Amino acid sequence: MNAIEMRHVEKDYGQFQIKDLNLCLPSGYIMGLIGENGAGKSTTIKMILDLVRKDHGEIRVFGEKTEDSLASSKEEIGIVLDESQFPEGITVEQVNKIMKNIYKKWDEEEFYRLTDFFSLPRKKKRFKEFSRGMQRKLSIAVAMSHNAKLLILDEPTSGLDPVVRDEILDLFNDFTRDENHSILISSHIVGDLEKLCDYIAFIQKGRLIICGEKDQMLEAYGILKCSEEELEELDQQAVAGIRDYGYGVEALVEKSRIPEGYQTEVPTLEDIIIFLSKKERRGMK
Amino acid sequence: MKGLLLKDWYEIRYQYRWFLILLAVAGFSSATGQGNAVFWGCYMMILVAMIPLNTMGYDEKSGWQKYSRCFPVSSGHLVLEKYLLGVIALIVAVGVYLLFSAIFYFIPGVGNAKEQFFTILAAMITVGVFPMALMLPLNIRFGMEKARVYLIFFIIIVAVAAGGIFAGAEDLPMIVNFLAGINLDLFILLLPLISIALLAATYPLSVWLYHKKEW
Repeated sequence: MNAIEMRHVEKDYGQFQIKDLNLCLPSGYIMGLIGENGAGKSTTIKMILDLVRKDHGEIRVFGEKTEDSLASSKEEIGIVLDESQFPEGITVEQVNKIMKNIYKKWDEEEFYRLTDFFSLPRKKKRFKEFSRGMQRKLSIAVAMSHNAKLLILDEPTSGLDPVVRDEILDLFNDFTRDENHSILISSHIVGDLEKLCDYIAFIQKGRLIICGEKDQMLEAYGILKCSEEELEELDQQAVAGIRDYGYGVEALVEKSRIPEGYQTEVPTLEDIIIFLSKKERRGMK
Repeated sequence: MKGLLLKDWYEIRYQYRWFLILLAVAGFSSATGQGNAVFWGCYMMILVAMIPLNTMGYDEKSGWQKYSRCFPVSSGHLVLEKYLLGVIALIVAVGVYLLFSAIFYFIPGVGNAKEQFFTILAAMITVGVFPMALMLPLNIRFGMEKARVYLIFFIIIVAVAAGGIFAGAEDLPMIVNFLAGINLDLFILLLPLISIALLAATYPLSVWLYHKKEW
């Protein structure tokens, strides 16, 4: 069973639309949602969580339509939203007492293990006195303390220093050791997603540009450095993006579509995303 | 539900520490039968009626409202929690009034006469319940700040309309006869029941509005 399925999902805000979004997160895997600001990542997450109504299409979580049973499904979804989410006067201890009475499978021991791991004070400090990083850590601790099978994380490592980010990514990795556990994570920090994710979905202007296994993507694409003339000789369908750097061009190419003999460099995930998002393509859209 | 109420309790304890003192003073004053007992009783109830509305404002500001929508709690329960919070707060406030009234019953010369006791109680319940019945759906639909503006407009319109009717009442015998025929004592005692019925009636509307809301 897939953790999340989105089929032909659309949402129209007038000047911005999500068009024909098809996305599938298999159970036991981690999918990264990447896109520039305003691309539709948060809207996609909100539609899954029913914070925003889709206009068309179907969304299923754990095989069930979100309209039918999302309240019960949410028992198994751990959520970190992109904004602050707790009242300012609340302490960690009080968060535990509140969540214990909201989630049936709340694990107090695990919650305090995580808050101690994150060095969050239990009683003396209130939420408004937490730094942004501490607030984020508390959200993550709550999301991972009720035996969730699916984590939906909107910019969870935003505002965290690299050391803590690395520790949190390890936590997320451990989470998916259980083959029934999945993660959908949205982030601007492509390096984090490259370390963590099995699948990548790249959204731009409300459209899904590419969605697939990360390793296959990295294998399929290469960076070709050549002259403009050499580039024009290639099958233009193989060219996914171009960057002109003065004395030549860099192009992201599908290796299977270019003739043998061309030397390509191994791209990073960030390279692929940047090239795909570039609007300038010679005579092509 | 218990978790949501607990959250609001922690928030009230943090934001409203001063309020408990004010509640005791207002409850005391309304039960003495001295001076403006009715005013103190109604003032206390208006403050109490604002509690669920203010917690909704804090929820909006803090992001909790959006976050709680992601909990395994139905829209019906999320809304019911605010209604329940308001009802509990009103019961506590009425309880304070009854407690002081009971104390003053045994002190000669202090405390409300029997008729005044029930009139104050009826006024308190009406003044406490009616704003909640009006404002909870408005808050859900428009958010705290816009809802307050709409409420002010509503009050102005009602006041102007009432003023217009009473100013022209002399020329309209139907209105004069109608007003003269009202049993004021009975009307005052019925008002709380009308307000409670209105509060119950707005609950399904609030749930529908909440369910339709997008973040």
